[in-house]
Amino acid sequence: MPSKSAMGVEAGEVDRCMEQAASAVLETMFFTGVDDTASGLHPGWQDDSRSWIRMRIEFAGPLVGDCQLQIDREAARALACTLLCLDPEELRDEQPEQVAGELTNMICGFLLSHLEPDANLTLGAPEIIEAAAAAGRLPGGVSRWFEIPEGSLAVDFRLSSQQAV
Amino acid sequence: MPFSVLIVDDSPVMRGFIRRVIHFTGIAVENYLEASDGRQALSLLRKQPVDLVLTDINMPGMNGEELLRQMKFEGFLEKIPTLVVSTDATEQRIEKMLQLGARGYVTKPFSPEILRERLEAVLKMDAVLKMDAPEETNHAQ
Repeated sequence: MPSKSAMGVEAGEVDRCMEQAASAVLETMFFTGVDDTASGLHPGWQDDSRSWIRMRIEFAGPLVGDCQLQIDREAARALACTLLCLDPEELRDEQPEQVAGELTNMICGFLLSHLEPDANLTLGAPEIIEAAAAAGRLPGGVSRWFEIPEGSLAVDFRLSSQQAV
Repeated sequence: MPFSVLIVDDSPVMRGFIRRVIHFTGIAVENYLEASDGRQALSLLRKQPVDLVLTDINMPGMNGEELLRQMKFEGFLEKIPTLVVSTDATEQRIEKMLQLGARGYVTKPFSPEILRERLEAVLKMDAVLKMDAPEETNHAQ
């Protein structure tokens, strides 16, 4: 990610906020936590032996960019059961993806609200992305890997530009 | 008197979560209505009145800010307590939504306890306002 002078936001600041965001969302809404976390592009991002749900959300305003989230399907199923208070057999097929979308929305919203507390930012709707699109990301964003009791989760945040306020 | 709630959020799982939290507050809700954006919410409100609205802000179609404007324009907002539930925690946005007429604001992520507290506060405020209203009328007479 570009330096603070170019973007107004430091990569280190985004990384710290990302860790806080994931912990806050997981603890508050899903009653779980982060067992382990690592900064940067973890090899697990490209592990095709696991079934992943990949989501992206775009944002606009003084900061323009997107946030991607990748979560293994079993973890998303477990989080969906917790959020909706359902037994695994009661869960509908689309609900793990919907939960992954909401997770992306909340982590991205938390990040932006903390990075630009005085800005008027707009978040788009979370969308599912294919593995190829996720793999095609250029380096330069801020990425973090999380191990949670339910499985693995990764978040990637990048700015494409910063508009004059 | 049956109590009805309208939940406006483009995420079906978030609507389900909010519904579950309301259920656990002990508020006896007879009828839950759900809408995935402001336009759908307005359409429902025009057909049947509700006692409480909870709305997200960022939604495709009509967003929560525009919904509040329209609710104000059509006279719904002064009658129906409305609570905003959003990921946007910026001061600017919170102030704007409260100025538009929202009675409360909850930022996501939120614990069930926080939502319950805000809901109770909003409903308590509404009850006080409704109790005060006839008195004002009487004073005017």
